[in-house]
Amino acid sequence: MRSFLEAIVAKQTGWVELRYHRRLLNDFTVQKGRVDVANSSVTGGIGVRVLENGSWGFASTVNLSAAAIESAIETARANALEISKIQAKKIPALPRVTLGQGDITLPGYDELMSRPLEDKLSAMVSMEREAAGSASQIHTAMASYREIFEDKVVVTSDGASISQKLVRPELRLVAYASGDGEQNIGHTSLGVTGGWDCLFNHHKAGAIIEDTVRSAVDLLGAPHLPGGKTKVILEPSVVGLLSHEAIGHTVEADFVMSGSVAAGKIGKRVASELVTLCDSGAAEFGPTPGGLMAFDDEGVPTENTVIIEDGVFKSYLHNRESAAHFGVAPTGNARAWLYHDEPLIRMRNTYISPGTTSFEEMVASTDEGFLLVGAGSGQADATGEFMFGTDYAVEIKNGKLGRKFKEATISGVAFDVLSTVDAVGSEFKWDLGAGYCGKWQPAKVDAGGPYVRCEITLGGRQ
Amino acid sequence: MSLSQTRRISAIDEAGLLDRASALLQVALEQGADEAQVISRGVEETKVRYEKNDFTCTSTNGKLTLSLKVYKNGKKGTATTNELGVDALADTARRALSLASFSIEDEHLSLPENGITTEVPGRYDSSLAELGTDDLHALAAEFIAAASADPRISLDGGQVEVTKYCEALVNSNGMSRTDAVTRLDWTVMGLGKTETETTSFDYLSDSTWSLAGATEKAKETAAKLVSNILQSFGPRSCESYKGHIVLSPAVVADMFLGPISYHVSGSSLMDGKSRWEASLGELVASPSFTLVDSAHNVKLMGATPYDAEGVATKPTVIIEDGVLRAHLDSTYTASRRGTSSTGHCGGMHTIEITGGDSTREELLQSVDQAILVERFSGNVDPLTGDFSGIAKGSHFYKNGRHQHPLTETMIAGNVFDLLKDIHGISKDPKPHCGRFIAPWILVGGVSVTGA
Repeated sequence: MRSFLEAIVAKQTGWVELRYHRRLLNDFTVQKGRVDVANSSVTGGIGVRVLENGSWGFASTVNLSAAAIESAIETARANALEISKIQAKKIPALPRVTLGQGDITLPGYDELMSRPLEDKLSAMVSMEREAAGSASQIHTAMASYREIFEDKVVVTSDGASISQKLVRPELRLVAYASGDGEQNIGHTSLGVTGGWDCLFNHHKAGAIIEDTVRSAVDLLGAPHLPGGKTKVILEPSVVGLLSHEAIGHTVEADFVMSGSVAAGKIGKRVASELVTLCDSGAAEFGPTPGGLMAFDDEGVPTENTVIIEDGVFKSYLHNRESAAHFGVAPTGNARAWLYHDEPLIRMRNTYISPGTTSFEEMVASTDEGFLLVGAGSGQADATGEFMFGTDYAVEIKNGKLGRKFKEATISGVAFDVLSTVDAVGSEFKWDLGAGYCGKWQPAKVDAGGPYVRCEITLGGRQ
Repeated sequence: MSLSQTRRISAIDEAGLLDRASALLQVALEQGADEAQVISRGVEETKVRYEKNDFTCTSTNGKLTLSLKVYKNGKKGTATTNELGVDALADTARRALSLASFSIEDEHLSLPENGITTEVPGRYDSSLAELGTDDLHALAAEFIAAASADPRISLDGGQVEVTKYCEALVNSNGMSRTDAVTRLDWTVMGLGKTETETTSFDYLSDSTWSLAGATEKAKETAAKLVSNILQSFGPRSCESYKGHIVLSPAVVADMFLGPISYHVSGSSLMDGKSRWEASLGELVASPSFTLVDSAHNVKLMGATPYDAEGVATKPTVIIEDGVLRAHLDSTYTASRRGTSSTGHCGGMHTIEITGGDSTREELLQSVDQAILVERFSGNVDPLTGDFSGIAKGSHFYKNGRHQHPLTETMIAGNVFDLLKDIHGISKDPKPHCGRFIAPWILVGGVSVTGA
């Protein structure tokens, strides 16, 4: 496919990008001894992007013949010429940057492809059965597995020519508990870039059934959190979500250019000096994060982008266009969900670097507050105001963990919250589970970090 | 610019899709499926994107998808493809049957019989189907100009998209359906910015089936966004309290629809997850609350003649004067529960909440203090109904008078408690985002947490 696309690009004039993307998605859901989902889905095609007359044009086709691709190129060019009539600021020619060449297959792809689907379904059947029978309060359990095989080829007229294969398996377990007229859910999700063993070597995999069931049962009858600003210890999944929602979105260069709160912050202190926050395409500090990739969808090699270093703002996240605008190198953050999606600036694996305080020391030195556990969904604002859900909270009193409270949504203003960080843990975990990010199109991302202590607003009950 | 140059990357029509669907059905049966269903979908779309206060890209996509469901020896497998190669149909059937071969037997698996559907006209507009890229750009330019009407507005993103969908559905019980719709969708997201202040962002979207009046409707969306943003400058938090809030139509939908649809759905009912399993005929909400799945109301974009497995849809009263009137089933959940399909495979279609007898201002004047919640950025647990999140673009009222816009203000409570604690419903339900029609609703018992 790579040489085929190279030959088509070689015949073109002007800047052209061809991106072949074939996705094989297999998924199973088992519930109450039934197989609710046993599905295999193939989606493939070619996305064409051109830069013509200072404007982007895009088209896609499911027809992989040279004639159809060349027709799509012409359509993309026509789109670019047409939009250039209403586009105020023309995009300058993209400067030359380091672009990837060659073929790469990330670990796990071949192993997971050769593992029989029957074995994967069988594992879900066993997991669901065991979870459903592990406590009298559990009336339903649901186990689901999904694997996404991505085959991509990116060829551009200015030198990118890469083929990249990777696989992202995910596992979710949900337990429904009931008692005294109340229902509650416990859930755990895992997501990695790698093979079956990587998924089951995930730090949560060993106790997935026990933790999920306990979470569902323990919260039956648990009180709701009181609302208000308070000291909290965030576990790694919540730290990851804070990094992603509260900071990561505001530093995407397209959002910065639209007026996000991060505009003009380069070189300024924005957080406690204990905070170093990054976004990386690689596996920093821990193996197989869910957003792992060697190249982005513009063919730019990914890197570890330091956004905040020791509390000082260092960099935005860029694609080729925004990097040229700011006069810096692209950071490898251009990503497209499917062949028919244009690459946008997206995060990969976003995290806070580990510090030196152990979890035990952190709890022991907290007089009053909560440990927040389990990342839910969230949203960030241009002002830096963010919110996201957590699964449950554990009360901390006089340096000791106490009773559990039901799920709460937390809120704050990104840089204000990071400025209150007074302890950063020494243990690092990737832990966004089977999480996705939404921004016009989905993106598979991961996030994580160590335990972090800070002040935050809890949206609890009055 | 001619359409052939701009839109037709892969030509689609109902007859062609029906041929493809029938061909895959035949292959699946020849490979040994006992029963099979195929849905073939074609999409032609052109969208104009706006980012960073400028138009950024126009894209054109042609998509084709074939989705196969097979039952073999009481076991199910499904497979989907968009590949056009000669082996694609055989490979798709092989994958679905392979999955079915090691799945778990389920006596309730069956496909619906062919039945009569009611036509839902007014969802296809040939002038929209044939809209040229230059005309789409002109419409988008008017929309964006209206959304940028004030120099304090900064637009982070926007999109105008024209789409033609065609679909064919066939199954081995002789069902054969085709449908075609056109739609124009627009979205805009922006914030207010001065030298000293950046507001929260706001976003709005809407849709229509036809070109007539589309520009004016899009400009109404833009004007609403401008108004929302300009009113949000100078926000403050309020004192924490437990009491009344007024929910906008958008918030009513975001908060109420998830939990309600969860607890009336056949899948929740058959698994013992529904709190309303024995509640038909009982009061589950305030007597002022009525919710209907109108199914064929073309004011809303979910209007459809049949559900995801081809069963005819029909208007369904779900909650009437606070009393639960219906559970919603697919063929499968109906078999499990010993009922009949209500045409809700895939969920509810078009949702309408009936209006009351007050104006929004009268709702605000009827209580000592309240916050008017325009947008909810938070989480709602559909199982328990617990919700918690930020009241976005919201305003604080005291004695019926506007005090100030709000920031860093969180709200929390339980949707099922709110349904029974409704103190007033506005008389002017509004369509929102093309998905539902809802009024403003005054509820009590909500925890409001200020910064």
